[in-house]
Order: sequence, then structure tokens, then C-alpha cells
Amino acid sequence: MRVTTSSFAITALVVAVGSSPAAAQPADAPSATRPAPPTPTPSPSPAPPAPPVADPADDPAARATQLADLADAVEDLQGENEDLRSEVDDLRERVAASRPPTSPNALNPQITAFLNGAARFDDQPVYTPGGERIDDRLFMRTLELDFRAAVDPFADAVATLALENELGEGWGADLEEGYVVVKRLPIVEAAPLGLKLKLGRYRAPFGLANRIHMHDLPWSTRPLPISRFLGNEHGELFEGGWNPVGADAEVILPTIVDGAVIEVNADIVDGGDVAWSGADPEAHRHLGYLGHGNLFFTVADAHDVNLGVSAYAERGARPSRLFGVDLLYKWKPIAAGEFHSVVLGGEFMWGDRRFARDGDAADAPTGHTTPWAAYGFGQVQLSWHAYLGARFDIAQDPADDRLTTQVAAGYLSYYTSEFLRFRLGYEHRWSDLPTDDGIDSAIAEINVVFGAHPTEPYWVNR
Amino acid sequence: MLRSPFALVATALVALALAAPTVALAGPKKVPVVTTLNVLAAVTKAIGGDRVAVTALAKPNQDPHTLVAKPTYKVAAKNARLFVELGLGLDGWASAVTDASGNPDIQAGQPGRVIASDGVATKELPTTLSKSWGDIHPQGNPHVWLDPVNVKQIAANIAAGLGRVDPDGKATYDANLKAFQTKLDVALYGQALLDEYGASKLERLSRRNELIDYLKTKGTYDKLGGWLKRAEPLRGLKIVTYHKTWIYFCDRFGLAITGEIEEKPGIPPSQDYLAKLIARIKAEGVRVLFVDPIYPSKDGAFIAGKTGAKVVASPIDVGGAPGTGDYFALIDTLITRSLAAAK
Repeated sequence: MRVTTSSFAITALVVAVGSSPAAAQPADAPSATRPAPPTPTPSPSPAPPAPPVADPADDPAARATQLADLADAVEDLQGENEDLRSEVDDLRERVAASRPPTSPNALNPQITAFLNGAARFDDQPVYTPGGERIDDRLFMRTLELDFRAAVDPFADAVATLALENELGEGWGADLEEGYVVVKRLPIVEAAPLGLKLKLGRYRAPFGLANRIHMHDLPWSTRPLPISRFLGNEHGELFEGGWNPVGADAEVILPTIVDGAVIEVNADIVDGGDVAWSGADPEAHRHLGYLGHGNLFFTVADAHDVNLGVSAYAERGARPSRLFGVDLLYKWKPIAAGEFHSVVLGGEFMWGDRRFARDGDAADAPTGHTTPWAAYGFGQVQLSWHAYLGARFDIAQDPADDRLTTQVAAGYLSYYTSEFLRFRLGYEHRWSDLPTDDGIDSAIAEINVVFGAHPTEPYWVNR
Repeated sequence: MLRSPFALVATALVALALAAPTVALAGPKKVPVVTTLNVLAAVTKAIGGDRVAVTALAKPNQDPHTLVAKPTYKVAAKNARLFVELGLGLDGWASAVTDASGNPDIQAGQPGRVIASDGVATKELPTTLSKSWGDIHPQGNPHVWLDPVNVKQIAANIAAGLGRVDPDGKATYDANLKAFQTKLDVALYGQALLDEYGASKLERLSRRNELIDYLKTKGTYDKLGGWLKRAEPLRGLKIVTYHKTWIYFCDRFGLAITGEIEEKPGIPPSQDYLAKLIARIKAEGVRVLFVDPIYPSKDGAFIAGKTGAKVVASPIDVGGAPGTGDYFALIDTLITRSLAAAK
């Protein structure tokens, strides 16, 4: 509509401006009115003399006024035209700003690669549980590839493929995690209690550290309770933990106290797929049941507390149970929170274990132990780049609860950014097992993350 | 023996589920809105008025780039009817929160999700994408709210979102939007200039950064008022900022950014870089340093000590400093502090 009006005005103005001074337009004629054509004068009879007509050319003041008016009109129209052009430009910019990505790659999964290597230097021979000697060696420990994307409006999928150092056997490919998270169904628009179903292979929600991949751990080695009770065939230096095939249901309970969040996981997993079961084939013939409850609350904005309880049970001829309690405290100031923090935490596990003694045959005699294990750690952030921490582990042997091993460790981590980390650590080990006793080790680690980095678990600094 | 812990948990779950309706009934009937940033909460309150109950997840002095989502966030989001994020990769953790909430109404693309920066033209669009440039944003510099002109668009997006989830209040939201935008125009240009040219023309000239020249050409510069008039002494003032936060504010009010204290976005400075920056500040006569309170003050203080430049503690979010309780107070404070430092 504005364009039409402007066009009309411009046309009229052009007509007006097109009238030359020689056109003898009256000085007071409207500028947008074309002068009438001259009337024919032939007449058979003499006409009286016409009255004198005022010629604008003869009135400089009137002409100056007319020109000034015209100049103003032109300027206004130019301004209006400029505004309209500007408005079109703005609209183009806004359309461009809100244009969705056109690359077909936009629908591919986010891909992130994690590369982790370590070197260790020891004062005596060190062996893995499998008997491989690993002292004074350098290792490329793992390359993990993480793929994640929405499957459809109802589900997301994650696949984490790991190329791991299988000591003595070269490199092995492993499905570290591969699962789908169903958030809702077409027939259930909103899942009750925010229910999410995780189906596939995933790191079991038992305790705190088991859920964290090695490259995200604040230490270079897995704590003894994780390694001994949940799983690590190659020892604490290599990727391990418990990642069964199963189904996990996670809900957020209704808020009772403002600021406190209670989450509950209930899982059914392939029984026996955990170090706690040992090599007992019987355990794999029965389902395993896992539950985890987590209470989180924040005090004065900067202090986060996380308290968790876990329980796992297997039925069958050799029923076993494992329980755990975990605690995490984190202080991170609101302002400049990327520069200072303190983290304290730990886990305690105990259980009632029945297993195949003296071999893994189905008719092997049943062993029974009630071991426990625990670790605690603390970490202080010294600057944006540097973190200093310490950890202490103690664990009884699941197969013989009279044998205890302890580890004291200290470490210094240096991040160039959240994507590249160097770490130096020292560990001392005491054990009732002579081959594990009195070992002093220095460990250097490098961790690289490249690609589309996924959101980190909330408790990890960086 | 084995059944007892599970039975206890199951009983507790049932009890809590039964208690839930009571909790829900006791709650307010206002439209629950969750925003990532406080500035978005402030604009939402201005548009929504008494019809909305707004919760901002980030704290005013918390670095929104690196904030890690807490479990309490997903509980807030679970109950929200509208979730407002800025977008442009600044609050990238928002999706982690909405995903974890299990609330289908606020997922991406749903009516209850607002990307507040939609339609805002961004600056500093990267020509190449590489982590070697530090923490870059593929869609351009995300600190768009520090230009009041952009906040008019942000407010319009929020009003549209509120209208979608609460159609009964749409007329109220539209009226409040108009009042908010007019208040912004008056605050930015002054009433006299607004009366002379109207908001539409002033906004277009502002977007092209031609307003001041235009007014001088037309001889109407004396009608300029508001923030732009107050900020007159700041035009051409050379500053160094801690992070690449201030391009929108500086372009609007005429300050010239000479460099950043961060070596690359998201990467704190090394000693070598600081030495070079100090030399540059001296050579170019930079007199003012903008250091956002979300970053440590020591680098700014160190540079100030070596160069004589003054440090402006420059809050980037509503509530980030005393007296910045809404968006107008935030911009007022920034101009006031800048003027004081520029003297």
C-alpha cells in the first residue's frame, strides 16, 4: 500500500518537475496538477482583449518558493524510498539469520573422538590380573568414538565405540555403550514423572564413578572398588567398569522440599555381566536387578551435594547382592566459577557374594564372601588451567575377603582448554598380595577431545 | 531379606506419587516460564506481567557459556509451560536441561520453546570454523541483548511464545510488548526524537549505524535524548574487553573495541600475550577496560596497573550488579560506569 502511494506521488512529482519554466505554469498551481491545454482562439468576431495572465517567470519569489517546495517533496520521497529499501534489507537479514542449516550433514549424528594415552614408571614389576607385565611402559589406552542424535520426536540414540588396548592381544573393538533413550510414545504424550527408558548397553547406574568414561575421570586410574567389584580385566590403568546390556527406567520424584531433587533408576540387566559375579556361568542364566536412588540439593547456590544409594541382586543357584553408597560435594563460586572449585567425594560398597570356587564349571563348589571396598577423593582447582587432587582406596578381594589392597594417589591436571588435558600422578600401593605390595608408580596421561563435544556429566569439573 | 529394600523404595515411590497432586494444587496458577538467562527472565516478566511466574536458571554473575546443568534445572523445566533460551550457542546447555526434564511441551520445535535470538542479525560471523580459534560461535557473536535495538526483537519472540502457550492472555502480552518496546525506544532515543521520526525509522537508521550522521545532516541532532545522548562522550572511546562480549553494546553507543584480554575466546591470557596487549594499549591510548564480573578481576587490575587504564566492572546480565534489577537499569548502569571511567 505504501509502495502504491509512493509510486503515485513520484509519478505526480515527475510530471510537476517535468514542467519547464517555459511552460508558463501558473505560480500558484498545485504542483501535482498538469496545466490545461491551450484553448483554440479562432473566432469570426473580434473578441475583447484577454485580461493579463501572471507569468511565474515574471515572479522570481513565487518560482523560488515553488522550487523549494518541490525540493522538499523530492527529499521526502527519497527518504521514504530509502526507508523502504532499508526495510527490505532488514527483512532479508532477518530471514537469513533465521534460515535453517541446509547441509545434509546437519542430520548426521554428532561425532566426538576421545584419545587417551598413559605412561607409567614403577619401582618394581607390575602385572595385570591377566598376568601381563605393564611396569615402565607407554600405552595408547583408548580411542573412543561417540555418536549421538535424535532418532525421531520420541527417542534419542547414543553409540560409543571404543578401540581399546587389549594387553597382550593388540587392539580390540568394543561397544562401550549403545542405547536408545525413549522419552515418550505417540500414545503417551507426557511420560509420568518424566520417565525415560534406556534400552541397550550402557554404563550401569551403580554409584558415582562407574557411570563416567575413563577420559572424563578426575584420576588416571579407576578406584579399586570400581575395578575389583564392578569390572576391569586389565587392571586399574585401563578402561573398565560395568556396562551391561539391559533396560533402565529413570524417573524424577515429585518435589517435596524446594531445591532437593530425587531421581530413581530401576534396571533389569543381563545377570553375571559384572566382576562381582566372577566367571560364574550360572549368573548369566538369571536376570540381574539394579536400583539407584540419588538425592541432590544445593546450598547457597555454590555448594552442591549429591547422595546416592545403589543395590544389585542376582538370583539363581548362587545368589549375590551388592550395595553401595556414594557422596559428592562440590563448591564452585558463582562469579569466576571457571577458575576455582573444590570437589570432595567417595563411595562405599559391600555385599554378600556367592560364586563358583575352583573353576567356572556349573557344578563347581560355591564360595561365599562378604567383602567391602571404599575410596575417597578431594580435588582443588588452582587456576583456570590446573587442578590438584588426592585419592585413597581400600578394597578386600571379592574372592577372599581376608586379602586387602590399598592405594594412595596424588595427581596434578593441567588443561590447555576443556579439550586437551595433561596429568601427572603418583601412586603407592599396599597389599596382602605380595606381588601388589609396596609399589610406587608415577603415571603421566594425555587426553584429547575433538569433534562435537557432548554435554558433560554435571559433577565433572571440565 | 532381599525384598525389603526394594519394597521400601516402592512404598516410598507410591507415597511420593500420591503426594504430588497436593503439591501441584498448592502451586500458583500463573504460567510457569523457565529462562536460561536473567535478562530473558526480566523481559518475560515485563511482557507477561502478573500472568507469568518466571524462573531463571543461570545466576546473574555466572558464566553462561560454561554453565553445567544441575538436576534442579530439569525439575524446574519439567513443570514449565514455556522455556526461553537465548540460542546462538551461548546457552547450549539448555537442550540438556529440556531433554532431561522429560517435558514434551518444551522440546525443540514445540510451541513451548522460544529461541529468543531468532530474527536478530548477528555480528562477527566466523568465516571458518575451527577449535583453533577458541570458543567460537558458528552463528555469530551471541551477546545480542546488549544492544537495546535487538531486545525489541527478543521481546517480540517471547511475547509470541507466551501467546502460543496461553492464548487467553495474548491480548495482554501484545499490549505489554508494545508498551515495552515504546519504553525501550524512549529510553534509547528520547521522547522528542521519537515524536519527530517515529520508532520504525529510528530503528532502521540505528540498525545501519547511520542515526547520528542522519540527525546531524537534518539538523535535528538537538532532539536526541535517552541513552544515546547520555553516551555522547563515549563515542570513539577506545576500550579493551575481557571477552568478546561487547560488540553489540559498543556498536550501538559508539565505543571502539581495540582488543580482548582473553587470548582467544574462552582461553585466559598467557603472560606473553598480556605483555603484548599492554604494549598495544599504551600505543593506542586505550583508557578503559571492560571486565565482566563473571571473570576474575586480577588480569584487568594487572593491566590497569601497568597502563593507567580504568577498569569498568561491566555486568552482562540483569542482576549482575547492584541496581541492575531490570534491563533498563542494566543499560543505565553500563553507561554510567563507562562515563565515569572515561572522565
